[in-house]
Amino acid sequence: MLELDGLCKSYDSIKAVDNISLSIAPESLTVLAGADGAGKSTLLKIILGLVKKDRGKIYLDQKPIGSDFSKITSITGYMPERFSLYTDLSVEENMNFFSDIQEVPRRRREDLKQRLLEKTGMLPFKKRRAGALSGGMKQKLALSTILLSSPDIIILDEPTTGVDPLSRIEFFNIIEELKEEGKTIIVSTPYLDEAEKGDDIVFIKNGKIIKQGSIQSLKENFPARLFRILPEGNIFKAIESIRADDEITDNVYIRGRYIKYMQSGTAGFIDRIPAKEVKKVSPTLEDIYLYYERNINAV
Amino acid sequence: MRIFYLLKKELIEIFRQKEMLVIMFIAPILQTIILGYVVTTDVNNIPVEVINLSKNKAAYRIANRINRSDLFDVKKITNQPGDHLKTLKQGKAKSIIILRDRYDKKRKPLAYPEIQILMDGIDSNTSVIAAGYFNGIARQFILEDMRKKGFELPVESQTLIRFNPNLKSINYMGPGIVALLLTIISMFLTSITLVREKEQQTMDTLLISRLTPVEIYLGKSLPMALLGLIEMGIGILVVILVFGIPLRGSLLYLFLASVIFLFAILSYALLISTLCSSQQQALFFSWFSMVTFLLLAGLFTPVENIPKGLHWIADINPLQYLIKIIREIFLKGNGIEYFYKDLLILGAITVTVLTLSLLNFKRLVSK
Repeated sequence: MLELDGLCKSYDSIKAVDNISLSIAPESLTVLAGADGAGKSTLLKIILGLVKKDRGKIYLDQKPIGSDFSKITSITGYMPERFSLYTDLSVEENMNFFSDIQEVPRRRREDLKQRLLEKTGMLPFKKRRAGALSGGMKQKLALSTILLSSPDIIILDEPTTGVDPLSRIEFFNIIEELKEEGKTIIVSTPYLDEAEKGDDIVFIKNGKIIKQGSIQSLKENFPARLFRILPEGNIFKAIESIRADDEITDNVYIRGRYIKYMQSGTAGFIDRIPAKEVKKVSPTLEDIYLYYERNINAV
Repeated sequence: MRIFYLLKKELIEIFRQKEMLVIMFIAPILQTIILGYVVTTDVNNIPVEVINLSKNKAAYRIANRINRSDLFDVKKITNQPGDHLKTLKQGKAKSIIILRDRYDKKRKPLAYPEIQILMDGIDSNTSVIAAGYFNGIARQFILEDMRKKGFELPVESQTLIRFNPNLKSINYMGPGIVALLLTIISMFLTSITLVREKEQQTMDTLLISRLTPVEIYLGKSLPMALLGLIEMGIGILVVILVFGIPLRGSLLYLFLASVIFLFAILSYALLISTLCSSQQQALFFSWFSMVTFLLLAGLFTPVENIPKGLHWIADINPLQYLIKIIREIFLKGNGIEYFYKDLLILGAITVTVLTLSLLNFKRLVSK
């Protein structure tokens, strides 16, 4: 089990990671979700020792790792935010290079390479230069290279940013398979539909964890009542008039032809919204994120 | 062993880039040839006007010698005075030689004329050399003429020039150009190598692999050193085969000096690479450093001419030592006993800068 205790990192006056404590369960998929600049990448780099933390401790199987990050990196595969392979090398040459530097035994190598390229659907492209691959294929190749060392922990930093929707689905299918194989996976993403796939979801904003839990527990413990409102007349005019009302402006947002209203506490202001139809609905992960993101003090 | 995987990867990447191959292997040959012909201190074909206002036979013969010389391109020989300043301003000639009669106290013409040389001094170097040529021609003529008449000078100096008897500047510049090429290629290619890994985020991937920072550092620099030596070999072949510059000394010493120099210059380049955050910055830094090294290396002007305040830069400039050593080996055929001190200084520079850049690299990757 990987545990983070009070991790902090500041760049001048900006707190990139602010007192983050987190337990990553083995053989689970943990998703770090948050907007760009929330501190997700910095947190992942701290775990790997690529960014020096200001404070805090990291434990692996309940033992502090101190400054010896090789305890983590030796069992971890890391895929950085951007494509981080060699564009002038072919798919196979990239695989060979990473096998070499990870010291994958020669007798296992060919079989492993074949299986990984098959698994990621990259086998027909093994002679193609990495620079000539599509965005989705590049990410699959990057994932294949980190799997060569058969890591126990897999850290993927925004692996599907800039990847087409079909490739994103395929990519997450592979991640699901890896989890089934018993890998511990940490993925950061700005996409909440991807976050839903996690066993544990960690919302991060301004370097802080604003909420954490399984999707089920997050939904069950959602502290507000959520309404879907079909406004009278033009939706934009309706939202304009609602936003002029200080007491409800922070709790409404447009989704399609509806306005969503989160009512926290007992005091409701729903009567102030001119509506054709009002329906109480269950929160989606997006609603949950928006609630905690807007009511950061409610955490 | 893991270093060699990185080395192999680097070489594959370099040889995959066709444009890079042209820059690395064709450009040095062309540059050596072009620089060899262009970067020369020899002064030839100086445009000259000769105005002979003398009735003297000697004046006529001196004017004739100037006209026959390959050193001058005589545009006009006349016995009419003209507007000399206008001629120089228009650039029709860079020198005007005026020959006039000289007279004794009794107003009787002397045997030899008065020679006045007017020079366009914008290019001071050419002017000084051209004036020397004129004086030499006139002095030679007068000496020969006096001997014919039975006079001997009481004291006469004899000059014996060793190592480069024809005073061909290509012999002096050629070996220096090889050192210069080695610097250009090594500086530019190496300074972007680490920073490119940073930009591509492949550095993070390497750092969490089993490679140690030292292995990454060496794995990135050794291919450049190897390529630098190949470039050096090409450069040496070009100066020997194209310009006929003799290699009088040991090729082994030449390569020993080059290897030590290469590590010094690679260390500088790697230091730049660790200090910069983009390839653009690294290239600018390299260009700036290279020009400074070049100007303070004694390639074009002797190191002794450098102002005292700037001597410390020249002292830590590895190019200065290589140029000195390479000329000694090429032209004088000197052995290591003549330049071992320079090799030691070069070694000390290498160790110091290498340590600095390695420490900086380690600091950088442990942020």
